[in-house]
Amino acid sequence: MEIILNGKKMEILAGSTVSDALTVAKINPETVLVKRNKTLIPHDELLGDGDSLELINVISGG
Amino acid sequence: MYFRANEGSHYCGACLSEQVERSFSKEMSRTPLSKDDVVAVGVSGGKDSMVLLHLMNELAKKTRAKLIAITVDEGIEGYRDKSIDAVRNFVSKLSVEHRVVSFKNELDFSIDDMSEKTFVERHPSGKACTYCGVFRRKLLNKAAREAGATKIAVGHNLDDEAQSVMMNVIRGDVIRMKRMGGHTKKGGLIPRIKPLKNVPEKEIVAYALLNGIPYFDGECPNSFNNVRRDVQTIVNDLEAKYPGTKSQIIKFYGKIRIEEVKGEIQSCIKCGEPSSSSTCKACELLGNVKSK
Repeated sequence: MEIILNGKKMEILAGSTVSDALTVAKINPETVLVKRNKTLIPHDELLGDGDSLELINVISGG
Repeated sequence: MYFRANEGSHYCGACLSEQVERSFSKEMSRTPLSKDDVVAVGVSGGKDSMVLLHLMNELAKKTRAKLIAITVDEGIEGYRDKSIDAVRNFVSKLSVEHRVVSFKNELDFSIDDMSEKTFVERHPSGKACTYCGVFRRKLLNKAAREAGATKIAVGHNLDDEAQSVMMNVIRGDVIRMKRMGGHTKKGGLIPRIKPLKNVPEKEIVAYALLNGIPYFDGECPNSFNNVRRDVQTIVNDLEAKYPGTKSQIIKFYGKIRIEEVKGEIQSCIKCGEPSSSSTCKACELLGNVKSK
């Protein structure tokens, strides 16, 4: 299925979670929070076809 | 909305906020505030210090302690200037007194000066972070003392603490490891507290988002390609694979019975600030900076 991650389309397997999508995108889940429809969702949340995710960077500062 | 992998538990926004506040309160219960306390809160404008300021402000209202927000301006253009704007807006909203102390005014030197060709040629192995950390701690302590502070609160989180433990292990630096636990008042050093030290960095960001706490999310341009960044990546990779790693690192550190660093605090012969030797580390590094 196809999802949008920070504005970019990507293909993931049906039944994937947020964590699975981050693995495909080579992003460590410790480094981001994820929003769907402007709401924070947990990393074990199941994704659906067409979901649009926004990543919030956790690492900042010095 | 949030899953704690090490517990296998889900939290809604309200419950996660409560967890963060509970951790803060538990840590603060070790050094309770009273109406006689003046707490200098180190506020850079980043997520940790802005969340800390919010929580300290709520606590100060209950305890009638006085708060002063202190920002150290290292002189990193495009980074610190922007974060200071965020702090000014927030302290104004909270009606908290705010002081800014700058490297340029206090030391006649800024971190941006270190990128100048002449400095790099003179000090090819000089790392901005080494100088920055030493000078920042010195100026924060000095500003807090001048403000009559009884405590300094800083926003170090669980990730910061776990990284520091691992960095000290890698370097074999037992002395620095001993100093990690904060310090009590002696010789001009204001006692330092870290109320967020058991809160994961991710949960601090979540708390800020859930509670509408503004923060500057930029990364320091000097923070790449250094040991801490490498350790951060390794610790995050371990946490992703073995949830609870960061907490266990801190628990391990707590179990090692590390005695407080012995030795008297002297006054630096150059600047008069507290020092473990005749010349403080800041003046030693400043001597490097100013040498031709």
